[in-house]
Amino acid sequence: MTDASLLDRTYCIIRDEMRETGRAPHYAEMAGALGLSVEESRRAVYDLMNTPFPGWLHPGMDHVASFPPFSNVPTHHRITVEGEQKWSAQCGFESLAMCWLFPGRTIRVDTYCLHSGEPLRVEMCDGEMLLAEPETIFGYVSVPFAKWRENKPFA
Amino acid sequence: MNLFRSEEDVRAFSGFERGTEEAVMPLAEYAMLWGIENYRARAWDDYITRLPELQAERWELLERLGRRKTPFWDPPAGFLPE
Repeated sequence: MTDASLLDRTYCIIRDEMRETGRAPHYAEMAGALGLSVEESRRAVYDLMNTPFPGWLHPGMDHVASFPPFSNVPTHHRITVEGEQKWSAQCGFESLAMCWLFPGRTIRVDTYCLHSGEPLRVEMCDGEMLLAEPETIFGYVSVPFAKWRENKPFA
Repeated sequence: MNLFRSEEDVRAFSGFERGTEEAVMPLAEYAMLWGIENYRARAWDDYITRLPELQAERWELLERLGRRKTPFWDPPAGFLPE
Protein backbone atom coordinates (compact mmCIF):
# COMPACT_ATOMS: atom_id res chain seq x y z
CA MET A 1 0.00 0.00 0.00
CA THR A 2 1.31 3.43 -1.00
CA ASP A 3 1.99 5.79 1.93
CA ALA A 4 -0.14 8.91 2.42
CA SER A 5 2.52 11.38 1.40
CA LEU A 6 3.10 9.57 -1.89
CA LEU A 7 -0.66 9.48 -2.55
CA ASP A 8 -0.76 13.26 -2.04
CA ARG A 9 2.15 13.76 -4.45
CA THR A 10 0.58 11.48 -7.04
CA TYR A 11 -2.68 13.40 -6.72
CA CYS A 12 -0.92 16.76 -7.12
CA ILE A 13 0.96 15.72 -10.26
CA ILE A 14 -2.20 14.53 -12.01
CA ARG A 15 -4.27 17.50 -10.80
CA ASP A 16 -1.68 20.05 -11.92
CA GLU A 17 -1.21 18.45 -15.32
CA MET A 18 -4.96 18.34 -15.91
CA ARG A 19 -5.30 21.96 -14.85
CA GLU A 20 -2.49 23.07 -17.16
CA THR A 21 -3.13 20.93 -20.21
CA GLY A 22 -6.61 19.43 -19.90
CA ARG A 23 -5.24 15.89 -20.00
CA ALA A 24 -4.02 13.44 -17.38
CA PRO A 25 -0.47 12.06 -17.48
CA HIS A 26 0.17 8.34 -17.86
CA TYR A 27 1.86 6.64 -14.91
CA ALA A 28 4.98 6.13 -17.02
CA GLU A 29 5.23 9.91 -17.50
CA MET A 30 4.90 10.47 -13.77
CA ALA A 31 7.53 8.01 -12.57
CA GLY A 32 10.41 10.49 -12.85
CA ALA A 33 8.59 13.26 -11.00
CA LEU A 34 7.63 10.82 -8.25
CA GLY A 35 11.15 9.40 -8.03
CA LEU A 36 9.75 5.90 -8.56
CA SER A 37 10.13 3.05 -10.99
CA VAL A 38 7.44 2.87 -13.65
CA GLU A 39 5.83 -0.09 -11.86
CA GLU A 40 5.84 1.76 -8.52
CA SER A 41 4.27 4.75 -10.24
CA ARG A 42 1.56 2.53 -11.72
CA ARG A 43 0.85 1.13 -8.28
CA ALA A 44 0.64 4.62 -6.78
CA VAL A 45 -1.99 5.64 -9.35
CA TYR A 46 -4.02 2.49 -8.64
CA ASP A 47 -3.78 3.07 -4.89
CA LEU A 48 -4.89 6.69 -5.32
CA MET A 49 -7.96 5.52 -7.21
CA ASN A 50 -8.77 3.18 -4.31
CA THR A 51 -8.97 6.02 -1.78
CA PRO A 52 -12.29 7.83 -1.20
CA PHE A 53 -11.22 10.30 -3.92
CA PRO A 54 -13.85 9.74 -6.63
CA GLY A 55 -11.58 9.33 -9.64
CA TRP A 56 -11.25 6.21 -11.76
CA LEU A 57 -9.24 4.51 -14.49
CA HIS A 58 -10.64 3.50 -17.84
CA PRO A 59 -12.01 -0.04 -17.38
CA GLY A 60 -9.44 -2.63 -18.42
CA MET A 61 -6.76 0.01 -18.98
CA ASP A 62 -4.21 1.97 -16.98
CA HIS A 63 -5.29 5.37 -18.29
CA VAL A 64 -6.90 7.91 -15.99
CA ALA A 65 -10.48 8.31 -17.19
CA SER A 66 -11.83 10.69 -14.61
CA PHE A 67 -10.13 12.89 -12.05
CA PRO A 68 -12.65 15.23 -10.49
CA PRO A 69 -13.51 17.85 -11.17
CA PHE A 70 -11.92 16.99 -14.52
CA SER A 71 -12.70 14.24 -16.97
CA ASN A 72 -9.88 12.90 -19.13
CA VAL A 73 -12.57 11.68 -21.53
CA PRO A 74 -14.41 14.47 -23.36
CA THR A 75 -17.87 14.95 -21.87
CA HIS A 76 -20.83 17.17 -22.65
CA HIS A 77 -19.80 19.37 -19.71
CA ARG A 78 -17.33 21.65 -21.50
CA ILE A 79 -15.27 24.03 -19.41
CA THR A 80 -13.90 27.33 -20.60
CA VAL A 81 -11.49 29.39 -18.49
CA GLU A 82 -11.16 32.99 -19.60
CA GLY A 83 -11.90 32.17 -23.21
CA GLU A 84 -9.87 28.96 -23.42
CA GLN A 85 -11.88 25.74 -23.80
CA LYS A 86 -9.76 22.66 -23.20
CA TRP A 87 -11.32 20.91 -20.20
CA SER A 88 -14.25 18.60 -19.58
CA ALA A 89 -15.92 18.16 -16.21
CA GLN A 90 -16.54 14.72 -14.71
CA CYS A 91 -20.23 15.49 -14.34
CA GLY A 92 -22.63 18.39 -14.07
CA PHE A 93 -22.10 18.72 -10.33
CA GLU A 94 -18.32 18.61 -10.59
CA SER A 95 -18.50 21.36 -13.19
CA LEU A 96 -19.69 23.57 -10.31
CA ALA A 97 -16.51 22.74 -8.35
CA MET A 98 -14.15 23.54 -11.23
CA CYS A 99 -13.73 27.13 -9.99
CA TRP A 100 -11.83 25.98 -6.88
CA LEU A 101 -8.87 24.93 -9.05
CA PHE A 102 -8.83 28.22 -10.96
CA PRO A 103 -8.98 30.84 -8.19
CA GLY A 104 -9.84 34.35 -9.27
CA ARG A 105 -10.76 33.25 -12.79
CA THR A 106 -14.16 33.04 -14.43
CA ILE A 107 -15.21 29.49 -15.35
CA ARG A 108 -17.84 28.90 -18.00
CA VAL A 109 -19.71 25.60 -18.12
CA ASP A 110 -21.45 24.73 -21.37
CA THR A 111 -23.58 21.64 -21.10
CA TYR A 112 -26.91 20.22 -22.21
CA CYS A 113 -30.19 19.35 -20.52
CA LEU A 114 -30.50 15.54 -20.58
CA HIS A 115 -34.26 15.77 -21.15
CA SER A 116 -34.82 18.66 -23.56
CA GLY A 117 -31.38 18.71 -25.18
CA GLU A 118 -31.35 22.46 -24.73
CA PRO A 119 -27.96 24.11 -24.10
CA LEU A 120 -27.26 25.31 -20.57
CA ARG A 121 -24.61 27.80 -19.53
CA VAL A 122 -23.23 28.57 -16.08
CA GLU A 123 -20.47 30.98 -15.14
CA MET A 124 -18.76 30.96 -11.76
CA CYS A 125 -15.81 32.64 -10.07
CA ASP A 126 -14.49 31.58 -6.64
CA GLY A 127 -17.80 29.88 -5.82
CA GLU A 128 -19.95 32.83 -6.82
CA MET A 129 -22.57 32.16 -9.49
CA LEU A 130 -22.22 34.89 -12.10
CA LEU A 131 -24.61 33.52 -14.71
CA ALA A 132 -27.11 30.72 -15.16
CA GLU A 133 -28.88 30.41 -18.50
CA PRO A 134 -31.68 29.66 -18.14
CA GLU A 135 -32.18 30.75 -14.54
CA THR A 136 -34.35 27.69 -13.92
CA ILE A 137 -31.54 25.08 -14.06
CA PHE A 138 -31.93 22.08 -11.73
CA GLY A 139 -29.55 19.25 -10.89
CA TYR A 140 -30.36 15.58 -10.40
CA VAL A 141 -28.72 12.25 -9.63
CA SER A 142 -30.74 9.04 -9.44
CA VAL A 143 -28.20 6.96 -7.49
CA PRO A 144 -28.33 7.27 -3.68
CA PHE A 145 -25.12 8.61 -2.15
CA ALA A 146 -24.33 5.35 -0.36
CA LYS A 147 -24.06 3.59 -3.73
CA TRP A 148 -21.87 6.12 -5.53
CA ARG A 149 -18.67 4.17 -4.92
CA GLU A 150 -20.15 0.90 -6.20
CA ASN A 151 -20.10 2.15 -9.78
CA LYS A 152 -18.55 5.58 -9.90
CA PRO A 153 -19.06 6.34 -13.61
CA PHE A 154 -22.79 5.70 -13.31
CA ALA A 155 -23.48 7.54 -10.07
CA MET B 1 -25.15 13.84 -11.94
CA ASN B 2 -26.50 16.09 -14.56
CA LEU B 3 -28.03 19.48 -15.07
CA PHE B 4 -31.47 20.12 -16.52
CA ARG B 5 -33.30 23.12 -17.95
CA SER B 6 -35.91 23.05 -15.17
CA GLU B 7 -37.44 20.95 -12.41
CA GLU B 8 -40.09 19.81 -14.86
CA ASP B 9 -37.36 18.51 -17.17
CA VAL B 10 -35.85 16.47 -14.31
CA ARG B 11 -39.19 14.85 -13.50
CA ALA B 12 -39.86 14.12 -17.18
CA PHE B 13 -36.32 12.74 -17.74
CA SER B 14 -36.26 9.07 -18.83
CA GLY B 15 -33.74 8.32 -16.08
CA PHE B 16 -35.78 9.86 -13.28
CA GLU B 17 -36.62 7.38 -10.54
CA ARG B 18 -39.40 7.59 -8.00
CA GLY B 19 -38.16 7.91 -4.45
CA THR B 20 -35.24 10.13 -5.42
CA GLU B 21 -37.04 13.46 -5.03
CA GLU B 22 -34.51 14.70 -2.48
CA ALA B 23 -31.93 14.77 -5.25
CA VAL B 24 -34.01 17.16 -7.37
CA MET B 25 -32.43 20.47 -6.40
CA PRO B 26 -31.99 23.92 -7.87
CA LEU B 27 -28.58 24.75 -9.34
CA ALA B 28 -27.79 27.09 -6.44
CA GLU B 29 -28.17 24.26 -3.89
CA TYR B 30 -25.90 21.93 -5.85
CA ALA B 31 -23.39 24.77 -6.15
CA MET B 32 -23.48 25.09 -2.35
CA LEU B 33 -22.93 21.34 -1.94
CA TRP B 34 -20.02 21.34 -4.37
CA GLY B 35 -18.68 24.42 -2.62
CA ILE B 36 -17.97 22.80 0.75
CA GLU B 37 -14.39 22.46 1.91
CA ASN B 38 -14.18 18.92 0.52
CA TYR B 39 -14.11 20.50 -2.94
CA ARG B 40 -12.29 23.74 -2.15
CA ALA B 41 -9.50 21.68 -0.60
CA ARG B 42 -8.67 20.02 -3.90
CA ALA B 43 -6.22 22.85 -4.40
CA TRP B 44 -4.31 21.74 -1.28
CA ASP B 45 -1.21 19.62 -1.60
CA ASP B 46 -2.28 17.31 1.24
CA TYR B 47 -5.83 16.88 -0.02
CA ILE B 48 -5.84 13.08 -0.11
CA THR B 49 -4.52 12.82 3.45
CA ARG B 50 -7.13 15.32 4.68
CA LEU B 51 -10.05 13.87 2.71
CA PRO B 52 -11.67 11.84 5.54
CA GLU B 53 -11.93 14.87 7.86
CA LEU B 54 -13.65 16.99 5.19
CA GLN B 55 -16.80 14.92 4.78
CA ALA B 56 -19.09 15.85 7.68
CA GLU B 57 -19.92 19.32 6.29
CA ARG B 58 -21.86 17.74 3.42
CA TRP B 59 -24.47 16.25 5.76
CA GLU B 60 -24.69 19.36 7.91
CA LEU B 61 -25.50 21.36 4.78
CA LEU B 62 -28.02 18.81 3.51
CA GLU B 63 -29.71 18.97 6.89
CA ARG B 64 -29.92 22.78 6.66
CA LEU B 65 -31.33 22.48 3.14
CA GLY B 66 -34.02 20.12 4.44
CA ARG B 67 -32.78 17.23 2.28
CA ARG B 68 -32.45 14.53 4.93
CA LYS B 69 -36.07 13.37 5.16
CA THR B 70 -35.31 10.13 3.30
CA PRO B 71 -32.18 7.91 3.29
CA PHE B 72 -31.19 9.14 -0.20
CA TRP B 73 -28.18 11.17 0.99
CA ASP B 74 -27.21 8.86 3.85
CA PRO B 75 -23.48 8.02 3.85
CA PRO B 76 -22.48 4.35 3.55
CA ALA B 77 -21.50 2.57 6.75
CA GLY B 78 -18.03 3.55 7.91
CA PHE B 79 -17.76 6.49 5.52
CA LEU B 80 -17.55 9.16 8.19
CA PRO B 81 -14.62 9.07 10.65
CA GLU B 82 -15.57 8.19 14.24
